[in-house]
Amino acid sequence: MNLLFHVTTAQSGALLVPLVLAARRANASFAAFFTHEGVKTLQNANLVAALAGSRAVVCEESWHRFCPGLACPVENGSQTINSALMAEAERVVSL
Amino acid sequence: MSEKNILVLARRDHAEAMRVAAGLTIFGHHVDLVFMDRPVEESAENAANVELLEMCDIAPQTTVAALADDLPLLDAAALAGAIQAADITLSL
Repeated sequence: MNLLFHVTTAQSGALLVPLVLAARRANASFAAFFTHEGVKTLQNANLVAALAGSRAVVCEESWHRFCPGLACPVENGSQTINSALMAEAERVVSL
Repeated sequence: MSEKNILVLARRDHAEAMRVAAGLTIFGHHVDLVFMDRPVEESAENAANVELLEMCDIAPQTTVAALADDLPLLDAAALAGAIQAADITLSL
């Protein structure tokens, strides 16, 4: 995997969408991990659509904390997966 | 898969940064943690997270002068050096 986007703030979505689209144009493989308030960005349908076909994982604990009762649109995971994705990624973009 | 040197900057939420830092060690990464911005709040959650850091062999550092009696204090140059030395820097 060329890139891992590590998303931790509710404002990160504005940056993540164009970065994901740019990664696709460059034929870069990527994944995204959402934790803490970064999970709130997944309430943006444009972002979810941009991530389609790529691996996107939320920290389940953060999802329940910041988006209680909402259906999660991507894969539920944990900090264990975060650690694994860090190992797979050539580069990490912290947002 | 490769083990990496990861630097976690604890800026907005110290408790979350401790949780993430500890979790990152699961796949064998070396993780450093720097408390920034303000002193770490004394709470049951943070006390538990500090124990978690000890279990994960993470020895925190800080840029907060008020924490200098308890943790190694990094000045701007030392922090820049730590960022340069890391494979990955995360900001939380």
